[in-house]
Amino acid sequence: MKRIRYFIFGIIFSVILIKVEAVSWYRIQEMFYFESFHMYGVLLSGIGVAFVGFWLIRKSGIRTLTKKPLQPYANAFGGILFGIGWGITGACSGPVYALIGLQVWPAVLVLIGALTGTFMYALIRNKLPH
Amino acid sequence: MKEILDVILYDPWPWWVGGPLIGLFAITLVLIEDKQLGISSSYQFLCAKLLPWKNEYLNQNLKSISWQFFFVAGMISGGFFLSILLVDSISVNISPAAESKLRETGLTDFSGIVPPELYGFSLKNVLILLLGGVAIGFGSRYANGCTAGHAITGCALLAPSSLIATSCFFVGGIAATYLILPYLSL
Repeated sequence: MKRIRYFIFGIIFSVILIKVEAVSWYRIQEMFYFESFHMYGVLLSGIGVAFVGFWLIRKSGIRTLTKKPLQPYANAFGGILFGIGWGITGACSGPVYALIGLQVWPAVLVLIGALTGTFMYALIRNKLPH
Repeated sequence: MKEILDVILYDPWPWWVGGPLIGLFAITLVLIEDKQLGISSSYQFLCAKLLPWKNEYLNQNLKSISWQFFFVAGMISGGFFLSILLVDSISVNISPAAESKLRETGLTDFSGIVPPELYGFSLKNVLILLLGGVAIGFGSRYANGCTAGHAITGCALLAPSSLIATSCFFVGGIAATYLILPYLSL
């Protein structure tokens, strides 16, 4: 039952990302060119609403929310590398799946690349600064 | 009523509809499922399941991230349903200024959701998309999160790790847009 609910949550999130055009390569380029407020509006209003909700959740104590641990080198170097991939393919992790669903088949290559990258990280992570 | 449905279904949503919905979505996920929105752990999960041998990093906490497998399966299905429902009406509106900058890099087709000059199956495109994917996979696992886990969830929690990672997502993205893409001669 839980699995079906996660699946339905995935459908809803995918529809939101597609309808607000966050899955579009063009919108991502436009964002990095600073030529429209659209994607900044999406991110900032999303973060803003979540911020208020999370604040209320923490205040009321009905759920515990955890921050990811600070790993300055990993957050920075990994972040830059992820950003480069995001800029080139115009898709981050969520949109990759949404694009495959939209039958943009070359997006499968991005997913294969991402799994390869994950595997590479697993192999050499002990040698990287975190 | 039908007209309202048509607008919701066929027209793209403005940021002030989609953005707050993403925020509400993240809140609902916490309230109903006790899960913090994140997506790139699904790479770890898929990798661990596909790999014929065990790896210490890949196999850690598999139970707590397995939900993302069903979540991303839903994401693929969501895209599939929309593509059937909307057929050819999925297009993208970008600002004329952005379009002219992209035309300068050699793009000519702005009719779809991704540029055919990049999302095609030529040897060059296959290499670019694979390498871009490697950067996404390696980078998101190294940074311990992606746009969902760091930029949305983490920033909304004001987590220092997420604020650093999100800033760096933009550093990398801007570098790719200005310093890499124009030289790929798409």
